Amino acid sequence: MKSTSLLKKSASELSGLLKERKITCTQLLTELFQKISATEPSIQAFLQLPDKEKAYEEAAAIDILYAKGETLPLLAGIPIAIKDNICIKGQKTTCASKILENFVSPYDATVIKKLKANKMILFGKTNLDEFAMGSSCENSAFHITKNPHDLTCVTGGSSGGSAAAVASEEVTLALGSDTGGSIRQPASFCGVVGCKPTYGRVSRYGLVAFASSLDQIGPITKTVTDSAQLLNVICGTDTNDATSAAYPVEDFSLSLNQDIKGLKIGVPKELLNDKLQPEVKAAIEKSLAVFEKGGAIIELINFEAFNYAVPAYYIIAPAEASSNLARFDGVRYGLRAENQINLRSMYQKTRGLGFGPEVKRRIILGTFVLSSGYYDAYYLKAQKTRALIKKEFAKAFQKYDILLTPTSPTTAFKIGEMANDPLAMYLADVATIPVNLAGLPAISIPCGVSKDNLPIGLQIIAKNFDEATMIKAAHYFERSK
Amino acid sequence: MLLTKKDLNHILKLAHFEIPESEKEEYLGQLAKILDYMKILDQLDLAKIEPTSENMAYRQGSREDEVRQYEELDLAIMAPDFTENAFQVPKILGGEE
Repeated sequence: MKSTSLLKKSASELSGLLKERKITCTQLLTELFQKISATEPSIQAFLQLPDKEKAYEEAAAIDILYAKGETLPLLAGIPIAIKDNICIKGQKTTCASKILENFVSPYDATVIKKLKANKMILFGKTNLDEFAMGSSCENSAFHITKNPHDLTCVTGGSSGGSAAAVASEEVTLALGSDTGGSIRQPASFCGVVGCKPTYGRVSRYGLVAFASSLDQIGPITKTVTDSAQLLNVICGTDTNDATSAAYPVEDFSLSLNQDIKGLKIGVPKELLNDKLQPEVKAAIEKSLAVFEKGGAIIELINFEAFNYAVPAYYIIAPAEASSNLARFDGVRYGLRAENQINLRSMYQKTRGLGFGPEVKRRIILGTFVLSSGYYDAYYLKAQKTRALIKKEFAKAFQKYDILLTPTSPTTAFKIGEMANDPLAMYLADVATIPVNLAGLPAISIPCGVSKDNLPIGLQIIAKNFDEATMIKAAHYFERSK
Repeated sequence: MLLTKKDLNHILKLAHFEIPESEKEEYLGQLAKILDYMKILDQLDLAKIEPTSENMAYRQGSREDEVRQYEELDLAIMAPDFTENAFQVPKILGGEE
């Protein structure tokens, strides 16, 4: 059983074992590569598998340092998979799109520089919905990633590959990105922990932009402790990203192992009703009892914002995407349609060939809502709705320390089930989207399984820059459930 | 809001991409459903609300006006056609519209 035991361990456990020299990095990688050989043909979490030679070289170098007794960063030697919309210098960054199929990034994202500075081992690029647009990982131009708990079900999205890789024990840690729930929802569907930090906590430099006012990179991990420790690595002000907040990074691991006596929890009624899958509702209600037992004070609240966030988001995000994806035109990099009669024809053909249907749908929607004659009726209205949603959250946080919801109204659906109904897919993000519109931190943690053994996720939302309370509550639940 | 094919063609022109004729009806149907759903926002009283488009608390502010050295990027390496220190593209004017 020792040969499978390292795969089950969290990053913090492995870090302890490495420091005590009870295991080596090389041993860990050997088990991970064996696991990938066994499960990756069916899961298909990766777009680019980790480079074995390079990984073992890095592991050997770190093993030497540990053997010498050197003091290394906490997560040194821990392998981490990277969602394929985050740039690594000299490696392909495809965004799961044909338009970037052979694009090799000339620079490292800021988060990648931080991972390298902490001597972590970059471990492959994971699958996603094309340009992070989707909630199932079915919109990848290359292949669909399967849910490790049921291969006929989706992983969720858009960070489906990262969630599946961690859930299937192919990697210890992963990074995803979250614009409307794209870390939290796949974490919920795959039974792992997924955290979207406060907007501005993590630099977006090197993250291929989908919606610039909403996107954030965040950790996908096995435990809340790992999430806190990885947040410590990736957070921080970056002068290369003007939206990166000038806010100090605290040690998020200080929020672990805290009690929650007196913690005031608001539970929006709009997200705890009969519209939920019954097993999800039951799991959330059971989870509330865990918090109550720990001394938290729980109240059901009216929170109308949850009824309006999805339409507002599906105006704002596509609008921003239509602008951000204008750069993919075949001029300087990426796919170019050959032998075109003029420049306009080259743009049209290139983008027509290079973008998948969901990306096209969103660019059309975004272009429409920004166009003359429709801007006020749609985009301006959505921006005002966004302001209203932020106000409602601010009011709630005057009274409550955290808000608690299911991460998703359902467990993972079957592959293909929502393929012909984009609107139904959009509505699945009802619990996660409001958080992005308000820029708040939120975490999804496993809180149960359905009778079909599909994971159920619980979402904890905190106020801006209050990851400390979010982690405190999440860690309490994780160790008490 | 029911988009017509004429509306869709106009949007495609603005967005600089094409869709095969055979697929346009399907896109129109999906978009009609989505835009119809957006009507829910009409229930809100937004008259006195100031719009917001960002979540930027704790702005960094402007930096000092000093020259910074950045890493040299090899821009030619990923270019479909880069010669004479320029990205070569088809002619801008002329040809079919």
